[in-house]
Amino acid sequence: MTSIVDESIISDFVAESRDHLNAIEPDLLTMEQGGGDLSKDLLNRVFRAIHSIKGGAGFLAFESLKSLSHVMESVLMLVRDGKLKVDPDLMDAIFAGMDRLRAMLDDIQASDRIPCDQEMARFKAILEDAGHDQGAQVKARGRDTEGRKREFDLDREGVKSALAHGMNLFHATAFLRRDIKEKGITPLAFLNNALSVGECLDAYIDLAEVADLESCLEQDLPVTILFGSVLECDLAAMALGLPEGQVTMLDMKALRRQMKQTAAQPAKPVPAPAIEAAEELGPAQETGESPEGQVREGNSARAAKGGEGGSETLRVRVDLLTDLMNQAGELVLSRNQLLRAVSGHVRDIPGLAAILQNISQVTSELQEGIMQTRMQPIGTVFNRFPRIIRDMARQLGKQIELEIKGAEVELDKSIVELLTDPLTHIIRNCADHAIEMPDERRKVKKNPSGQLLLHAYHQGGQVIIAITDDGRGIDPKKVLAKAVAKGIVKEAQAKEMTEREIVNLVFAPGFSTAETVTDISGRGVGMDVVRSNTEKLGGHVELETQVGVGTTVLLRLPLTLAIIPSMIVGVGGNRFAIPQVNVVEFVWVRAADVARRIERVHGAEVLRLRSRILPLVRLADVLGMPRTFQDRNSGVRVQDRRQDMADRRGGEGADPARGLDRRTDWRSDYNIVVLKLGSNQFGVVVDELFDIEEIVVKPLSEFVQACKSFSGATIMGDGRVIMILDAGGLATQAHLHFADLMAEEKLRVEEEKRRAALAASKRRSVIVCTGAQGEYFAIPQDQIMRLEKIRTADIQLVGERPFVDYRGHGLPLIHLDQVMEVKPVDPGLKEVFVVIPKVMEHGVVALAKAGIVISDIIDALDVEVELEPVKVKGPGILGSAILQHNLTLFLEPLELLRALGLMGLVIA
Amino acid sequence: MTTSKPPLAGETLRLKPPVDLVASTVEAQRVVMMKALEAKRAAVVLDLSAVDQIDSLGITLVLGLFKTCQKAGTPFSIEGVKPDLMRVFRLFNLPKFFPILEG
Amino acid sequence: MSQYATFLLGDRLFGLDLMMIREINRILDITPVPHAKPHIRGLINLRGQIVTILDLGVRLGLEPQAIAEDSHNLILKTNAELAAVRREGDGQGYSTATDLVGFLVDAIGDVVEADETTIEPPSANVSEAEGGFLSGVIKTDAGLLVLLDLHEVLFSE
Repeated sequence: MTSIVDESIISDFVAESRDHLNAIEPDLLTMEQGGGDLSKDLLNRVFRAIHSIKGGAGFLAFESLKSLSHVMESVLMLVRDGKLKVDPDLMDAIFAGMDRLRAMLDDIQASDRIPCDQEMARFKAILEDAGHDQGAQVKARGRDTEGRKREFDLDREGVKSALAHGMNLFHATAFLRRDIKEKGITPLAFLNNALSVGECLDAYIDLAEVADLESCLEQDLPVTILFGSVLECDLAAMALGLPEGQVTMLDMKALRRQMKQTAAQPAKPVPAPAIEAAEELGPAQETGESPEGQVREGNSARAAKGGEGGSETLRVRVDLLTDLMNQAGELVLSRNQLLRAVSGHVRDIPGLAAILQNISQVTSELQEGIMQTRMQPIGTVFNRFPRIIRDMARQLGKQIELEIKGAEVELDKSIVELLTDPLTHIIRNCADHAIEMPDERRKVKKNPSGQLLLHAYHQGGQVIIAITDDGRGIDPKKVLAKAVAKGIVKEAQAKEMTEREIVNLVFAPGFSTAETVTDISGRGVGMDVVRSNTEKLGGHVELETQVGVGTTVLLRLPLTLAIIPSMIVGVGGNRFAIPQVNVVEFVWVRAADVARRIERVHGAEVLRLRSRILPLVRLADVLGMPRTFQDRNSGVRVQDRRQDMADRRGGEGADPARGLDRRTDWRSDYNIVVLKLGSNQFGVVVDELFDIEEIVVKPLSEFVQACKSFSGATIMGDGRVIMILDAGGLATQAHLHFADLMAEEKLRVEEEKRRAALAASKRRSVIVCTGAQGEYFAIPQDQIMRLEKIRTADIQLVGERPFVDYRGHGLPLIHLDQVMEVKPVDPGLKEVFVVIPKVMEHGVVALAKAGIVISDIIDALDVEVELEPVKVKGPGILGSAILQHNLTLFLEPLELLRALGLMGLVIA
Repeated sequence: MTTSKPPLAGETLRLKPPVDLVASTVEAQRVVMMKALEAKRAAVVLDLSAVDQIDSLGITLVLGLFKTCQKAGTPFSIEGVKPDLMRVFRLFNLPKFFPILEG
Repeated sequence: MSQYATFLLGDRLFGLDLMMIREINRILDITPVPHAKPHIRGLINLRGQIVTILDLGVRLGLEPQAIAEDSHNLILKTNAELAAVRREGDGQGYSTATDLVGFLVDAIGDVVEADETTIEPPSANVSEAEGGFLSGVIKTDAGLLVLLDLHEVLFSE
C-alpha cells in the first residue's frame, strides 16, 4: 500500500533546508559587515538557498513556509540584481526571517500554524518600496496532451526568475497510473524528482478530464506540471521518466512579450539577464549569447544527473552508520579471536599466515574507514556561534570579536552532538558575564572590543577545545562567597581551599542556578552539566583564569568512542578494563620497598613515586569486593584480612622476631596502575595485570548508568562481559582529595629543604644516645619534645606493633632495628628510654604520636661536625660522624616517623 | 459506511469511509458510494476523518465522486481532512474546485 | 485472545505478554556490576550485544536465588523492535526499554492463551512489595496467572 505522503521525503526536505540555511549564515554575516561590493557568487548562493526551500515547500504544500520563503526570495532577488541596497534594517529582517524559517522547519507538520505575519509584513514593505510586484500573473500558452492549445496562469515572478536563468518553460503530463503508480513511485516522489530537474511553477490535475464514479477507476488521470528547466525537451522528458510526447515546450516568445508588457517597472532588456545567467551557470555558457541559441550539452548532461553537477557527498542515515560501526567493531573482535584461536596452528596450513595477515590488515582499515564516516568537523558546531555572538553583542550593547581556529578538527558524530549544548552555554556565559562593556574595558586599557577565541586542536591522542576570553576573569573571592552563601561549602572548609579548588567550584551542582534567569544565558544548562556531559564522553573540563585578564575553559575529549586499547586487570577473581588513555605507568612495589614507599597521609594510603605523592586506591575496596591474595604455594585465592600494606611483614606462622626475611615475602608485592585525571594522578592497587587489548566500548544501559565507576562494558575474546573502569568515577568513589596531597607535597618539599640545611650545617645541638650495645645515635635537640623512661615490661604488642601506655593513650614505639640496619636494643634491659619528637599541628607545637626506643641517654652536646653519608640503609638517617671517639648515626626523627606512617596516625 | 438505510431524498449525504482509500479498498468504496448516490441529494459531504492514507487510486476515486456530483449539480465538499491528506489535495489545487476542510 | 509466556519465581506462576519477548535462553554467565541496584544481576553477552539482566525475584521482594538447572533468561524486545511489529490499532500501553534487558527467572512454563478482557485487578492479599509491579491476574486453564506491569518493573524507583 503506497501512501502519497512519504515521511522520508519530508524529512529529507527538512534536512536539506536546514543545511541550506546553515550554509548561508556566514554569507549573511558577511553581507551585513560587507557594506561595499558583495560578490555575485555570495548573493547567488543566498538567493538559491531560499529559492530551493521555497520550491520544496510549495510541493509539499507547506503554505506558510512557502509564503515566507517566497517573499524572502523576492527580496533577495532584488538584492542580487542590484535593485535593493543592503542596510541594517534589511539584514535584520532577513535574519528574523531565517529564524522564522528555522522555527517552521523544526516543527514542519505544524509549520502552517506558526505565525509569521510580522516578518511577512516587513518584507512586503521592503518590496513595495522597491517597486516590486508580487502575485502578478502572466499567461503562458502551450499545448496539452491532446495537442490542444491551452493557456496557463503562471506566477509572474516565477517566470521572470526562470527566464533570468535562461530556462525554457515546459508543460509535462504525467499519468497517475501508468507513469506513477505502475512505476512504483508515489506522486509526491515524482514531483520531488521533477523539482530536481527544474523549477516547478505549478502542478495540478485538470478536473475537466476526470470521469465520474462509474468509470473513474478505469481512468488514468493525467497530472499537469509546468516547470522551467535548462534542459532540452527530450532530456527533460527522460529526466522526469516520461515519454517524450508528454513533455512540450511553451511559447517562449509570447511569454517574453507579455513580461515586457505587464512589467510594473521597465524591465531590463532580456539579453542582459541572460548574460548574468550565463555567468552563473558556468563555463558552458560563457559565450554570452541568448540562451535559446546555445548548445547547452555540458550543462544539460550535468543537470540530467539531477543536481547541480556531480556533488561529492552522499546523504546517509545515521542509524545505518551506527550499525556499520557496530558491525566493524564485532569484526575486529572476531578477527582477534580468530588470531588467538589459530595462533598455535598457523604453521600447519601453508599460506595461512599470509592470509591471516591480509584479513587482519583489511579489518583494521575497514574499521578505521567506518569510524571516519562518523567523523564530523567540529566546525558544524562552531558555525552557529558567530551568529549567537552577533545577536548577544547587540542585545547587551557590547562589542565582541569571535575568532575560530581548528574548525576542521574532526570528532565522532555523537561527540559533536553532545558538545553542542555545553559549548553554547560556555559561549553565552562568556558574552554575558565575562566580557565587560566597552567603557569598562577602555578604563582598564583593554581593546573596547572583547576578544573571544574558540580553538580546537589535537594533543596527545585527544582533542582539545579551548575557549579563551580576555574578559573579567573569575574572582575566587566572589566564587567562594557565592558558594558559601549557597551552602555548597562550609565556612570552615572554605579557609582550607586552594585558589584552584575555589575556581573549580563553578562546576559544583547548584552553583550556576542564576538568581535572575535572563533569556540570554539561563537555560538550565549550568557548568555542572557542561562537566557531566564532557565526562560522559570520556573527557575532562578544566578552568584557568586570572582576574582582570581573562579565562580559558579547556575541554579534553577522546577522539573516538568505539575501539580503544585498554589494560586488563584482575581483582578479586574478576577482570576489568582500564582505557589506555588514562594510564600513566605501572608500578610494582616489592615487599622490601613497601615500608619505604607506601605511607599514610590523613589516614589514606599514598605511594611515593619519584618526587610525587600519589593517593592509592584499592580497587577491591572501591568496588566493594573482598581483598584477596594468591597463596604462593597452593595458588588459591585467599581472603586477606590484614589492614595496611605497610603491615605486610610476613605470612602466617612467620616469627615477628625475625628480621629482614619477612620483608622479602613475595606476598607483599603489589601491582599498582597509575592513572591520570586531568593534572592529577593516583594509583590503583590490583591483584593481577593482564594484557593490553583493544576493546569495543559498549555503552551501559539505562539501568546501570548510575554506576559512576564504570564508563561502559565490553566483550572479551572469550565471550565474557567485563566492565570498563572510569578513572574519574573511581577517584570520586574512593573519595580522593587531591588538594590535600598538594598541601602535603608542599610540606615535604619544605622538609626536604630543611633536611638538606640540617645535613649541611655544621653546628648542631644534639642528644647522644645508644641503641644496641656499641651503637650511638644523635638526635637534634630541637626536634625532641620529651624524653621518657619506661619499663620494658610495660611494652605491649598489638598485632606486631609495640605500644606503651602513655598519659592514658597507647603510644606506638619504634624499635630502630626494625626500620634500619642496626642491631636491636638488649631485650634484657628492664628500663629503656623513649624519645618523643616534636611536631607542629595547626601551628601549635605538640607531641608526636609515636616514640623512638633507645637504651640510654649519654649526653647533650653542641657539636660542629660534617656528616658523612652512611652505608646503613633506612629512613631518617642524616649521616654519620665521630663523636667522642664513637661512630654516631645522626637521625631525623620526623622523617623516620613519616616513613613509618606514624604521622597523623590515629591511635585506637 | 455509517448510514444503515438510504436517507430520504433532499437530505445531505454524509459519506464516511472507515478505511484508507488505497488500491485494495477503492473498488469496494466506489460501489458503496454509487449505491448511496442513487437518490438525489441536497448536498454531499465526504468525511475523511477515518482516513489516514490515500494513494493515486484514492485520489482518482475522490475526484470521480466529485465529478458525479458536479454532473448532478449537487454541491460537494470534503471534511475531516488530516494534515497529510490536506497537503496532497493542495498539491493538486483541489481547494479551488470545492471546499475542503481540515478536521 | 493473547498469548502469554509463563514462568516461575519461587513457586509462583507469572505471565508476560508474548509479544514483548524477544527470546528465551540460558546464557547464565552473568558479569556482576558493582554498586548497581540490588535487582540488577549483571550483564550477559547475547551474540555480541550486551544485555542487562534483572533479577525479577529480587525486584518483586524475594530473596536472591543461586542460578540453578531450570534458570532461564527472558530477553525483552527493545522499544524499537516492538514498534516494528506493532499491530494496527494497538495504541499506547506497550513499551519496554530503549536498551536490551532481560529477566532472570527460576523456571519457564508453557505459553498460555487467555482472553485479555478477563483480566482482573491483583488480589488484596498480595504483598506490598509485589503489588506495585503487578498489572492484574487472569484465569487460564492452567490456573491463575499473575501478570506483570512491565513499566513498573523496569522503571519505578
